Amino acid sequence: MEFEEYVSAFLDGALSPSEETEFLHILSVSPEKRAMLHQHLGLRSMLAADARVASVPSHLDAAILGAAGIGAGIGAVGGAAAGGAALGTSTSGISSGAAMTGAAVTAASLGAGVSDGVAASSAPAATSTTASGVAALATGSWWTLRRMLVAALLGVSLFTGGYLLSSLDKDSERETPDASSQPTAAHDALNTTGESASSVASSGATNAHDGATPTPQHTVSSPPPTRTVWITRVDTVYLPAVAQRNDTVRVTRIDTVLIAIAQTDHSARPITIVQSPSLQTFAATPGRFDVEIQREHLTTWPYIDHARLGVDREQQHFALHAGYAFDVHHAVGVSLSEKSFAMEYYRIENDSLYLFQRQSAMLVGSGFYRFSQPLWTGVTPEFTLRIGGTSLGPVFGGRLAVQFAPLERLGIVIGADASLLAYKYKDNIFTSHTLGLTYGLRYRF
Amino acid sequence: MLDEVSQSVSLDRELQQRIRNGDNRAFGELYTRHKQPVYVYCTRFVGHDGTAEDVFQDVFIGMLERIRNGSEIENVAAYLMRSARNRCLNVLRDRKFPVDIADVEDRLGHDSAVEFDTHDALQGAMREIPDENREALVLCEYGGYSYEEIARMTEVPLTTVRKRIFRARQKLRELLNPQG
Repeated sequence: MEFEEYVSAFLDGALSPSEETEFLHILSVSPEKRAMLHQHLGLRSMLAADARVASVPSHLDAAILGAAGIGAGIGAVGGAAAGGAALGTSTSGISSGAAMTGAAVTAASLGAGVSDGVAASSAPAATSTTASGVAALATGSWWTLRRMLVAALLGVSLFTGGYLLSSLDKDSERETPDASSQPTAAHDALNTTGESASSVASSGATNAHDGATPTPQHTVSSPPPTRTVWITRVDTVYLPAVAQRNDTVRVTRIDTVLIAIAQTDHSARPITIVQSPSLQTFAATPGRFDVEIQREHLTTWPYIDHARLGVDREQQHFALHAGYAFDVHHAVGVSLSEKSFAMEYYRIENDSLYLFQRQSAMLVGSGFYRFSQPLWTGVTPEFTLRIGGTSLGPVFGGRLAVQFAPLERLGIVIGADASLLAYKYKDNIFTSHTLGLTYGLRYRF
Repeated sequence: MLDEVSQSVSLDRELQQRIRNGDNRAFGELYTRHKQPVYVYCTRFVGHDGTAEDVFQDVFIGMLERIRNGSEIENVAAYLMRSARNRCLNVLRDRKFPVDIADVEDRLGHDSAVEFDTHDALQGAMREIPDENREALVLCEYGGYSYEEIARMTEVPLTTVRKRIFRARQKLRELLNPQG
């Protein structure tokens, strides 16, 4: 499938979760693809604007109603009410609601990071006790999400931590909190519903601005639901299609490129994306580093007289890997491991065969390339190729494994490992190899 | 949501009954309730205002005659869209209206974006899109229909709908963003 088809389906909420994960990742690492998305969003805005201006001409009303034997007055009166509700019906018997669907993110808001309509945000929150970053997606209290709302939040802050706040706000009347506001106040603001935030802002007594106790004009009878979700660089926050009045989603752990997209009806426009200044300092690299410690249970060939040599054919060693993942598929890195190769070499001299055997533990240094293919959330098969060497000769190896990642940063890798050592003796090349089970822990930064 | 739909359907039935009883004003109400989506569909799908208005008119007059002849339309919205679609396809097949492709190309190729009228450019570009792709896009973008609904309406598989909308958007993007 072409990437542009992904864009098209994404705009309509028609991507499967796995496709969407893949799509968002591609977006996060490719400026060109993001530019393409911006073009489509702009196109969509153009279509939406076109839909809004389309209305039945009065001469047509007059002609049809005249043919029915009545004046045009009725149609003209009702026309205004019906205006903007283009094709708002459904053949399936389920009303599709408002005039048109639209990505609520404008190209401008995506590109600039900060749109005209500014929602409540506070840059210092990035350095607050919420650690690496805080993001919130607050829905307005008065509008209804007719279709699945998809919000994908990606922020870059590899080591410095980052912060962004995405908010859907129809009128965009909320104000940007002062940069000097206290983190706790900002945090409170993030927990505030769209309705209460708006009311507080309109009352001119925002705690984000002056630190004073807010005096909202009205109170909410019951506290709104707040969902806290952890988000990784390619995660998506799904909100149910039904209206989530006063629902606040607080997202933490943002650590890659910022983008927030939602699909709503036109009345929900515009979506506002506010990017904190701290995000401007993000590391240029889009990938991630990881380290892994690996335990190996290997068997070595060829067969030698292990008993005489006093060594165990079944080895249990450790390996350390440090990798850099360019994207979801490709990673490179270096490995350091200890391995024992059973080595048998011989020479013929004076009609006698001299056979030598040894099996000693040796240090193996290598570089590796790793290809990963995510299957399901948290389950990623991968294949690693290694090329390195020991003091005796080059070592080639590979590993077929599956990574299980129950946590965002931590993964368990289980697989099969094979290595081949080539060594030289008296102008002859000999080989030894190992094969066995490996398992380990991987930590992603 | 379902309540709203059922209420809408029952109101449509009541209006139809009133029309059959000779109440012409009921047709005015029915027309007002449904004219906008049908109009947008016709104009954006056909791409030629005069022809689209003829189609639009035929659709509603046809519905009026049908009701006056005693027929009960179960789902007026669906009936109108189906009727509009069939008529639009007919006129598109016959191509009896002028399409100023050369003019569109001239305008799309114009250097100055400032002199570019967005609406005209969009409509011109829409006309460049193959009919089946344009229809899917119109239903999706202007109508807010889901892929499943469009697949049912146009009687094609879901994957085809997705492809058609993608192709239409791709074409639009190419035409309206010549540098991109």
